[in-house]
Amino acid sequence: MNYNKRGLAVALAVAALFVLCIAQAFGQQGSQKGEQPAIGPSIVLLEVRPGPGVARIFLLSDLDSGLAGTAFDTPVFEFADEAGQADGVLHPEGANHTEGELLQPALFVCAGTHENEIAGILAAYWLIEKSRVHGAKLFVMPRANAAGATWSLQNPQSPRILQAVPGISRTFRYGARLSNLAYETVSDPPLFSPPAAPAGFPALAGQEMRNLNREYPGSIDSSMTARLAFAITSLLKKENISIAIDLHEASAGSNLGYSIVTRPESLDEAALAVLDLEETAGKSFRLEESKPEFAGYSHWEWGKLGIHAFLVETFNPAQPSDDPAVDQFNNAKSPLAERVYAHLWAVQALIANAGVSLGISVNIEGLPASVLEVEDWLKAPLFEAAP
Amino acid sequence: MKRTVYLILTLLFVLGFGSTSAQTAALIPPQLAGIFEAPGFITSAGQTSDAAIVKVLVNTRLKLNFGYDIAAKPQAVSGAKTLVLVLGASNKGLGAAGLSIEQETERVKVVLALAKSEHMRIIAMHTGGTARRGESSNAIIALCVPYADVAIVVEGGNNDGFFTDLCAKEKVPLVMVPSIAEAGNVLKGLMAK
Repeated sequence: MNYNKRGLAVALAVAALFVLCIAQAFGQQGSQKGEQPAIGPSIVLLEVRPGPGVARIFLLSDLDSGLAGTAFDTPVFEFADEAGQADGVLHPEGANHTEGELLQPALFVCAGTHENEIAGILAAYWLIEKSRVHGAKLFVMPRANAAGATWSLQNPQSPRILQAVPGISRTFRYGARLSNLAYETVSDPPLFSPPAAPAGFPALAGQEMRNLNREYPGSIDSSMTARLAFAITSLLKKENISIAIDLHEASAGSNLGYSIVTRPESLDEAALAVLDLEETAGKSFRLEESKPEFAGYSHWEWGKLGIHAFLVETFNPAQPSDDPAVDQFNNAKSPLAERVYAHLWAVQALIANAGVSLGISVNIEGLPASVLEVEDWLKAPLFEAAP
Repeated sequence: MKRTVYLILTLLFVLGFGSTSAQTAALIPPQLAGIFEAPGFITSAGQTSDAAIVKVLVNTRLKLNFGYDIAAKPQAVSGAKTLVLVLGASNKGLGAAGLSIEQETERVKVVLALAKSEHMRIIAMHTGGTARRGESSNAIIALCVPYADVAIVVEGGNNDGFFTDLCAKEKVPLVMVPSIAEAGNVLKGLMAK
């Protein structure tokens, strides 16, 4: 498909999805006396304009109809391999393929697992609006837990809205770490143990049941958050994902700000990415090796599928309380544009180095050349932001 | 003028900096350039995962082919001529290795004793910045640096002058570098060709 035809197809798909989602959103609002903001896929579709690299948009509910029409449904943006049919990669045995089968490489970038970790979400939006991919297919899910984008710690019925230039620039929801209890189908238990946790694993607080990043690989007969994790795992299997990256942010107290966390088998790839990031992003990321205590985390469970999986963290100065007094855009210690820039180059560095292990060469075109470029993008109105 | 430049370049080459940039060469104490011999071995002192970064820097990028074990026992290190100790205590790393800080300190002491008994040269490296400068890290740094022939420190880790003071006190040459990549270049410049 050439770009014009692809652009038309994407535009039509977005328009159809948009109408569907807005209708859904209004339906939802109507059912709740017009007090609730939009939910589900429309959150993303109102905030981002797909660029020329996006070949297809679909909903996660396409993989699990149980998510359709709920606050947990979310769009996925598929980028075609601009270089044409890439060389295959030998993938370990999985649900949809046999060991040794040659498959076209496919990559996955996930953000918004925690909807208050805004830099990863905006990095995903940058990819959707400005990037093209050469050497593999890429799937980008900018708000993995859309149900977390329907509330905030300050207001259980509404997220906060971020805007760099009041009244002028594009707006973004700043949600919460957990799914909104209002949209869950089961109550929080007194204590919660991740389903994949090893024996003797200490139980977590009950509300962690609504933490998507403790629910992998997921389940269809538990909470909606677990069902969401199950649908994402299904997507990874269906699309034979080789490299998966989950974008997060951390508070100063967690000691995880600006770090890459990965399983032991991918540690060298992450270490090489850390070295690359010194040069490309001008940031010293730390490296952390994960272990069985990371049960239920995305990268830990995805790695069990043979995927080269990574967790990337930047430093969000508003966390853990999501302090609204913190100016995300102009924070002296960790401005938002700098964090988005670091996420984007981390994605590139991880894909490049994991790609070497897989014998594939992937290049993401359209990454920002400077933090200032990201800053300008954040300050622009939405329609000017699209290429 | 041209002759002067040529003489400087020739001098650098003769001193063993043939594959080292002038910027890196300027950081290396002249008496140490090219005197560290292969085989080399990398281990951590404190179970910091920074050791894994140094490993790929030294082996994948710089192709120096050092041995590596983040929690090496003395028998693994034995036979090496250059020991690289990557400094920094990590609770997560200690947990992953199943070691307490006391056990890790004991392991490091035994490795240091072996290194001295086998006349290894020791390079102490600190690449983790302020995150690897807590109380436990400082203790393990203070344990290792006196045994080192040189300390290579990425700048953020010495913001408070801790390494400056310690190295001065122990008469250990200190090489401050702006990045981990440059730490690798310095290490390469220290190695015999």
